[in-house]
Amino acid sequence: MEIINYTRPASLDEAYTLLKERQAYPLGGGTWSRLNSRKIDTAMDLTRLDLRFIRRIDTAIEIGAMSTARDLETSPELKEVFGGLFPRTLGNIVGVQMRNIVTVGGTVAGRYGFSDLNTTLLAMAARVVLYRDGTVDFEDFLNNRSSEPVLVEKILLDTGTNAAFQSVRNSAGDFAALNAAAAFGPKGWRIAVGARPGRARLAATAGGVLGADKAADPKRAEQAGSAAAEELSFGSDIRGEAEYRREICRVLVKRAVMEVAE
Amino acid sequence: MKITLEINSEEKSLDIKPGEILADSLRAAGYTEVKKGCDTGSCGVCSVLLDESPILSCSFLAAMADGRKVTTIKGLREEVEEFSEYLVNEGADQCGFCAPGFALTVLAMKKELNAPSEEEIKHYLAGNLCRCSGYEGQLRAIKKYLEAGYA
Amino acid sequence: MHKEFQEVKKDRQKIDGKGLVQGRPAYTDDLAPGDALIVKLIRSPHAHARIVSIDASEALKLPGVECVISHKDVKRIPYTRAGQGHPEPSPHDKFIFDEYVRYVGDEVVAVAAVDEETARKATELIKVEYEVLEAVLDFEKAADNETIIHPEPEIHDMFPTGFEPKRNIAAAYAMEIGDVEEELRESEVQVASSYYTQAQAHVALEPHAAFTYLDLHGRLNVVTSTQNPFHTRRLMGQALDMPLRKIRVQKPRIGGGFGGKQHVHVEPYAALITLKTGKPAKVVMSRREVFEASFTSHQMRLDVRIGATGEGKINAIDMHVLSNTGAYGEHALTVFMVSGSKSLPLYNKVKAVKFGGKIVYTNKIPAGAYRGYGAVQGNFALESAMDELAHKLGMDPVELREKNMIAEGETSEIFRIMGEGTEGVEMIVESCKLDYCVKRGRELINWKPGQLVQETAPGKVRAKGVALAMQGSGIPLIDMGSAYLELQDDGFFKLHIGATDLGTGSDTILAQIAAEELGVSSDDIVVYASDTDLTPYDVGAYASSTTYVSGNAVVRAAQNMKQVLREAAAVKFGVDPEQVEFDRRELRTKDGAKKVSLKEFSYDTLYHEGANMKTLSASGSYSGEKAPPPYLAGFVEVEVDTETGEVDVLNYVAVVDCGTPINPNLARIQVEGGLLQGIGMTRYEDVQYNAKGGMRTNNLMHYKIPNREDVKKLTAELADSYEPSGPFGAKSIAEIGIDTPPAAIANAIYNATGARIRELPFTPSRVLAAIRKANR
Repeated sequence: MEIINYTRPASLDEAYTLLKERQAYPLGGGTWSRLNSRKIDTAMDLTRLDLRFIRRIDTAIEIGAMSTARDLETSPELKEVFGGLFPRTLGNIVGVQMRNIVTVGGTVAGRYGFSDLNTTLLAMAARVVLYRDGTVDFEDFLNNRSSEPVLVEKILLDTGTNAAFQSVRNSAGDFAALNAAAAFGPKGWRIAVGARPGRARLAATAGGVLGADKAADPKRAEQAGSAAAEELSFGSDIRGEAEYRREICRVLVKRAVMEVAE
Repeated sequence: MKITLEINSEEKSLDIKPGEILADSLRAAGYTEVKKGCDTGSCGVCSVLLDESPILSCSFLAAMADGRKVTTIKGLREEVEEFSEYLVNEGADQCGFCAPGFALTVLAMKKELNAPSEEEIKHYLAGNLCRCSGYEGQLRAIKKYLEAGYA
Repeated sequence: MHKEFQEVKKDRQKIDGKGLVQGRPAYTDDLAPGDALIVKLIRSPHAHARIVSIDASEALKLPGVECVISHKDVKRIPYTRAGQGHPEPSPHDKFIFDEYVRYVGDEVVAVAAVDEETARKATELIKVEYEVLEAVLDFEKAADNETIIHPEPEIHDMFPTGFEPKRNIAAAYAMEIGDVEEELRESEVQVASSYYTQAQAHVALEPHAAFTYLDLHGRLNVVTSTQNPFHTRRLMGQALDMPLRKIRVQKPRIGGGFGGKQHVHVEPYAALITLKTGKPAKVVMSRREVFEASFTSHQMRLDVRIGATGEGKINAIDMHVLSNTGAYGEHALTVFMVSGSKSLPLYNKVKAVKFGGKIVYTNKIPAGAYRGYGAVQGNFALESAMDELAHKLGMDPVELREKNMIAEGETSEIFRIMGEGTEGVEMIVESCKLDYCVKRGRELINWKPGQLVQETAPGKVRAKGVALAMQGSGIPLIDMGSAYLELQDDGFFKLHIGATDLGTGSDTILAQIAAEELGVSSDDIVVYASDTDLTPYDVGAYASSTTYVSGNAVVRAAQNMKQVLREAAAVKFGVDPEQVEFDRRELRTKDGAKKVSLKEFSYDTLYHEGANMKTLSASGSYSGEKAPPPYLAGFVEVEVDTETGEVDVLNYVAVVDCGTPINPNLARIQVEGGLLQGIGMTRYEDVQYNAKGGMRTNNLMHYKIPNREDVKKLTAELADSYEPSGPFGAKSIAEIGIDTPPAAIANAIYNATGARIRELPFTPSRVLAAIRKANR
């Protein structure tokens, strides 16, 4: 990555102005961006904007965009509400050294296909607070292909959501060959599948199979898995062929659902 | 651009390019104990502490370290001396290329985790690859080192 | 046989260990002069092409660019990059630069500039035009393909190796003992299958690096991460057309090798720049270059047939191998031969055995030396086939092996017939505790015949598997090592060895061997190694040779040193040398009348003896007449997820006969490291290409090596054994650990699921497909 100008805005307003007027590139942890060979005219370092926080406000959890993966993994607030979900989701990402750098904002904004976190956030019906540009459903954010630059300020999660994450990896430190998350929240079941290898998608039919009742039995969990495998598309890459991904989609969705139901 | 940071408890001013990674800045400044193994943030040999947390210096922009505290293995002489005794007693040091980054991460783990289980140790250190040892000797060394520390 | 030792069979700390952990400058790149020119290589983006033109004019205008070198600037001399004895069994088929490029990664242009960024920019400014040629990517279609990868007339082999480049054949070989077809026909039970092994990357964590400079005398100095400094000097002399006296090669600490550094890779390119500019120059490969443009292991297809009696006595084995050497033939013949010569003698009681096949060129990254050196590939095929036979016989796989395996005091005709590129050497096996290794391994894994499988949860099955292995200890009559000892004032010794420590601890164990023989403490041995100017000759670290070959050289040097000490003391005492004893740091006459401590004696000989003062030194060399194999029994317990195809290694048990372990800790780590590298190969490590021959797995995000969560547990134990020909009873241990995981895990997966997988690696996707197929 080649950067011509490096700026450290002191406020969100300043960052927003740089974003809109100079097309400044917001850096999260910078780990993925730096592998890119592109040239960036102005890069913005957001580390001084107080965006590194995880807090509970009523029935919402707010996660600041500059919180690191490791922050989520070790957060007592997240552990209290969601149990082992975040360590499970994030724990296979390279190592603690990497997870001490990568940020939630960078992961969300990057819309990476390989992301584990985005699959969990999608299933959990997370909302993304964009500075001065409103709050959007993560699902819409993920599917939005507009190139209009935005500044991710924080992520909102509903505390009434139970979720589970599953993945298959060819080796422990690898990207997932496929990942899946199931969540039961105020609006019922949601199933998300990622690393297909494309970005995470909601499996609406699968969610529908499960309905509004949290107590799913193995048979319905299996039906949900099959539905997800049918309705989603899968591709091939070095981590697995499309057909294999479809096969294990059934299994991972089934297992994630059962984990939540139990 | 210029950055000012604390490296191994010394204030340093480095002249860097805005896109430069911390590992390159450190090596150029003579901190050759920071190794480079993979260029993609996958192997852990470039590990340093940023404030108290281990990070991959190959995946972190030097510019972001401005005003912060960076510690390489040479900044923790006494602790490393102690741990290296355990590692070398198991013969697990081997080629040693991963050792500075690995030892640094072990020391960070000792501070961060309280009496970790074998599984927790392996999980914390999963980002430190070693092709020589098969990891078992490292694990034997770490367990003895931690036990001695808590005794 | 069970001797008491003072210095060997002891867990001495590795002498460089603490310094390395503490991060002291030690590796090539740490030591390079700050003003070294940075050399970058432009490499071929095509699998097969002719270079039409190279335009470097824009690059040369860039301030800081020193020079650009391509095939137009260098003498066209075919050579081999394989670090092997002389004459090399590998064909001379590579040029430093050539008009033709034969794989994605082949060298096209070297650029030197004052810093990294300028060098990188310069590579972007150089325009190379290629005429793209048809590429041969499928090794099973390489022989007699209409595309010829090496049509150039000047390439050649050094002695007959079956080299037929016009047919894309780098080497070929065949041998037969007895009548295999006849014996197979006569056998009550037969198995026949084809097995495929993939190319594996070495992934030493230190990328290949070298820097060069001209010293005061105008000699070319090369500091490099190599496993064989002396071979490197010889090969560079060949390639650069320089007398060897003009070259010095030094190996500092190196960050792992595994065979990957048993070749010349970057050295000639730094050297060319230094010779042209007179300035120091440095090449450090990026990880991508290491993946795309160093070497891999050899991909193979192995067709195995075994015939046995109904009681499980093996009559005949046939192994036919097709090996892929990639674009150049480094180690082509020898790795191929080891696939047979270090697997087939395991079952030495056969009436007939046959081995043969060929090694073909393809437009892929060259294959080279890799830990195991063919034995891994041979082992996967043979030890899988053994389990297939056991299943057909309805016999416990361990029992089948025990009935047929080699034992102490026996031999195999293969030892005599098959060497590495040449004939072998007859050998009676004087140490073989394979029977103990099997018995102990069975205990450790809790092996119960007929009860090898257990369903632990719905969709989760645990099962056990077994495989045996053997390796060698150096190459007999080819490998040679030397050592030099010199008494220093204060009574310590310097030990100079040509041997090459890759991080394994060989400097340490060679000091232990010297200390044991001299009867001093290893702290009194100061080691300096791997420098062609200052240390005696040694072939280098490969073929599991260092402990056995270089270790025996150290023993001889120490024996000679003791004689030198006795002779010098005899003069001092005024007696015959036979009257002098040297023991526990003291020289004395046998009657005890006169004595002097080694410390005092050292001062006397260097400072106090007037006209009699001299340096007391001795040397010794060793070339083995045999290569006693170490043996290993590998047992594994896996858990297979039958819904996803994931295979979890719960425990891998290896019990090894390596003779006397000179340093048991370091020996055990060699086994554990080898096991994990073998498990990586078994489960997912796989060098993969796209349809045009470009590498898909060219970084550590896409080519994964095991991390510490990939295996639950490794259990390595050493058997009590003593090899009479080895230094203090030692044999080798560096390679054998990698050999058994592919077959043992394949056998365990079969026992768990009924799915026999004959193609490596066993990725979840492949395992699931095999389970589905087996259940159909």
